[in-house]
Amino acid sequence: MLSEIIFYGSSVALISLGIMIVLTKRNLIKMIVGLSILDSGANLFLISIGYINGGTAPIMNENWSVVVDPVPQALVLTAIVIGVAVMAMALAIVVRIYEKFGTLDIRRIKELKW
Amino acid sequence: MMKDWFRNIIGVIIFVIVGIFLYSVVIHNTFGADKMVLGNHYVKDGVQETGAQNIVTTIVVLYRGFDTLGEVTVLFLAATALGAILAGFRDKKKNKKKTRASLIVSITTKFLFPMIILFGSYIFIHGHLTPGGGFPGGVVIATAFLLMFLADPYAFVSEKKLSISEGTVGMLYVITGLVGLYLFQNFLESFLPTGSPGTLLSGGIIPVIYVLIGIKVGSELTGLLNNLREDENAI
Amino acid sequence: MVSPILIIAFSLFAAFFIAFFSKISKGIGRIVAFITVSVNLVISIYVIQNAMVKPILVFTGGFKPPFAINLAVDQLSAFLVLLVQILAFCMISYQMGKKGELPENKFYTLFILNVMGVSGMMMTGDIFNLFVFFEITAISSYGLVAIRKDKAALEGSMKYLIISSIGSSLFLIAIALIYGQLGTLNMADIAQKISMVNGSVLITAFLLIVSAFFIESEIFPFNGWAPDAYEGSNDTVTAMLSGFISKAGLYALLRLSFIVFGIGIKNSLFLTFGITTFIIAELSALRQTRLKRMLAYSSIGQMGLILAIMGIGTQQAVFAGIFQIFNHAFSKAILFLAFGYIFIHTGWREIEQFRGFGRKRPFLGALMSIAILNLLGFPIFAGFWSKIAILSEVGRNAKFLVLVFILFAAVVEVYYYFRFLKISYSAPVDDTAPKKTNFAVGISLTTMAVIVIAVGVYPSIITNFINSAAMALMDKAHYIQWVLGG
Repeated sequence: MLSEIIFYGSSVALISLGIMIVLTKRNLIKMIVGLSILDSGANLFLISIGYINGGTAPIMNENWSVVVDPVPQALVLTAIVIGVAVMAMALAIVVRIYEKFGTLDIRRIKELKW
Repeated sequence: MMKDWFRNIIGVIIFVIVGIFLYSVVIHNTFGADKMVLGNHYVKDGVQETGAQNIVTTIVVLYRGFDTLGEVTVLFLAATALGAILAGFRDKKKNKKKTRASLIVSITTKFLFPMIILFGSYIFIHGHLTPGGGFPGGVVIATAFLLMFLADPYAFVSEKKLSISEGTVGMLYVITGLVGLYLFQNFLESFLPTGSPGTLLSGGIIPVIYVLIGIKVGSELTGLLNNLREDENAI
Repeated sequence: MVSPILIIAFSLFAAFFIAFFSKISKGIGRIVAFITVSVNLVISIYVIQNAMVKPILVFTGGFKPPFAINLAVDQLSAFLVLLVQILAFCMISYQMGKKGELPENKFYTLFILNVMGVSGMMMTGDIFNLFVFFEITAISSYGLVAIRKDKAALEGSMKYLIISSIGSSLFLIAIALIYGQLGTLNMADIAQKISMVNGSVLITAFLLIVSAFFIESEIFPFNGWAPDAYEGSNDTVTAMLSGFISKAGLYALLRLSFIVFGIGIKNSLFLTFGITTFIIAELSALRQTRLKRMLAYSSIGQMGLILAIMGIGTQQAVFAGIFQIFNHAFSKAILFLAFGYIFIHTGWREIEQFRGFGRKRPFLGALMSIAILNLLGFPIFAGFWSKIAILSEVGRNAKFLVLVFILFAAVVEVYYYFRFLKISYSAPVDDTAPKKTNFAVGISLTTMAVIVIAVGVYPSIITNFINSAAMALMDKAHYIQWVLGG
C-alpha cells in the first residue's frame, strides 16, 4: 500500500507538475524543463505498472522464482531515448531563438502573431 | 505583478485537479499484482525461443526489435536535425579564447579515456547476459568523449568520421534485418543459432545488433555533444 | 510478394546511406531521396494491389502477434500509404526543380524519414510502435519546420515542439494505462479484450489519446501551433504538414477510436470538435491578409470538416471523409507548392500583391485555380464528388443543425477563395512574377492537377478503393479476426 502511494503518487505528481509548468511558465527553458518532468512522470508510471511484489530483474539464470514484467522495461528504454532526442532538439532550437530574439520570454517572441 | 500571482494560483489549481483525477484513475491498476499477459509468454518461453538469458534484451532486440530500429532512427534524426539547425552557428564564435583544464585533469582523462571505451564495449557485448545493452553501452562511450571535451576545449572529433560510422552501422542494422527477411520471410528475424543460454555466443543476432546499436548510439551522442558544445560560450 | 515493410527498410537504408556519404558528396541527398521516393511509390502500388485482395499481415522478428510487432496493412492503410507516396513523389520532384534548403543532405534525410514515419504510422498494428513512428514523424517535422533558421521558422517550430511533446506524453500515459489493464500492446488484441478494461480507465485513456491526436491533426482548441508552423516553414514542408503529416494524426485517431476503442462517445465528440474547428478556422481565414496564413487556416478548417464527417459514424460518412482527405491533400499540396514557388521568386506574402497574377502567369494561375475549385467542390473536379457525398450523408442522417453549420462555413470558404481568385484575375498591376516556371516544378504541379481532374471525370478510378477502405475501418470484428487468426 505504501509503495503504491509512493510510486503512483510520485508519478502522478510529476505528470501534473510537468503540465502545470508547461502551461503557466513564460520562459522557454523552464517550459522545456516542464516537458522533461512530464516525460519522466510518464516513464515512472509505465515502469511502476510492471512491478510485481517480490519480483527480481528478469534475467533467467538458474535461481529465479518471481520476476517483474519485462515489457514495460523495454518500453521505457525506448521512451527515454525518445525523450532525450526531443530535449536535444528543443535545446538546439532554443539556442537559435536566443541568438535571433535575444530573449527567452515567450511574451516577447511574437514574430508571427497577427 | 498581480498577473503573475494570479497565474501561479491557476497553476496550483491545475496541478491539484490533474493530480487528483489522474491518481483516482491509476489506482485501478493494482500496484504489485501480477498482471502479466505478454510478459508471461516471454518469461516462460523466451529463453528457449531465443537463447538469451536477459529477457528485457530479448524483448528489445527480437520481440520488439522493430521499435528499437525506430528508436535508433529517432536518435539519428535528432542528431541530423540538430546538426541542421545549428549549422553555421559556430563559425561566428571562432575567435573566443578558451581556458584549458588543469594538468591533472587532462592527464587523467588520457588514462581514463580508453578504459571508459572498454567498459562501454563490455556493457554492450554482454547485453544478452547481464543488465545493460546497446543503449547504456553507447551512452558510456559518449561519456568518454564528453570527458575529453571537458578536459580540452580544443579537442576535436571529425564530423566526417562520425557521420561515416553512423551511416555504416545504420546500414548494417537494416541489412541484418533484410537478411532475416530474405532467409525466413520475416524482417529482423534471428538467423543465427541460439547457442546455449548463459554463454557469450548465444542469443542469435542479439549480440550482433547490440554491438551495432552500441557503436551507433555512441557516435550519435558524441555528435550531439560535439554540436552543442561549440555553443557553450555563445550565451 | 512485395512486403510493405520494404518501404520502411528501404527509406531507413537510404537515410543512413546519405549520412554515410554526406561529407563526401554534397549532392548525394537529392539523388538518393528521389530514387527512394520513386521506389517506395512502386512498392506501395504493389501493396495496394495485394491488399485489395486480402489484407496483408507482416510479422517482425519471426513471432506471431500479439507477441511481436506486426504490420497490419488493410485497404485503408494501403490507400493512405499510396496517397502519401504519390504526394511525396510530387513534392520531391518539385524540390528537384529548385535549390534545396541548406544543409541540403540533412534536409533530404529528414524528408525521407518523415515520409517513412508517416507510412509507418499508417501501417503498424502495434500501439507502442505507433508511438515510435509518431515520434519519428514529429521530430523530423520539428527539424524540417526550423530548417530555414529565421525568426518565423524557429518560433513556429518551437511552438509545434512544445505542444506536440505534451501530446506524445499524454499518448504514452494512455498506453501505460491500457497496458496495465490488459497486459498487451497489439491493437487487435486490445480491441478484442477492450470490454475487460475498467470503465473510468477506458474513458481516461480514450480522452488522452483523443487530445494527443487532436493536437497532431490540428483540431481546435489544440491547434495553436498550426498556423505559426505553417507560416514559418518553407514551401515543401508546409505542403507536407498539410498534405500528410496532419493526415497521419487523423488516421491514428480514426484507427484507434473506430477499431481499437470503439466506444460510443467518439461520435458526438468528433462532431462537436470538428464543426467547431471548421467554423472557427474558416472565420479566422476570412480575416487574414497574408495568403499563406489564409491557406493554413483553411487547411485547419478542412481537417475539422473531415473529423466532423467521420463523427457521423456510418460507412457512407467514412467514405465521404476519406474522399475529402484525398481531395484536401492534393489541393493543398498544389496551393502551398505554387505559393512557395512564387514566394521564392517574388517575396509576395500579402493577398493584395497577387493582383493580376493569374493573367500574367496563366500556367501557375490556372493550377492554383484548379486546386481552389477542387477544394470548393466544383463539378468536373474530384472535390465535387466528395462534397456531394458529405452533404447527402449529413442530410440522410437528419442532422440539420450540422448541415446548417457546414453550409455556413462552406459559404465563408467560398467567399474568401473567390475573393482571392478575383484579385488574382483582375487588372494587372505588378510585373515581377517569375518569368518561366521550372520544368520539374511544372511537371510536379501538373501531375497533381491531372490526378484531381481525372478523378473528377472518372470517379470510379478510386471510389472502389475508398469503399473498401471505409469498409475496413468500420469492421472491427474482421480486423481482429484477420490479425489474430491469420
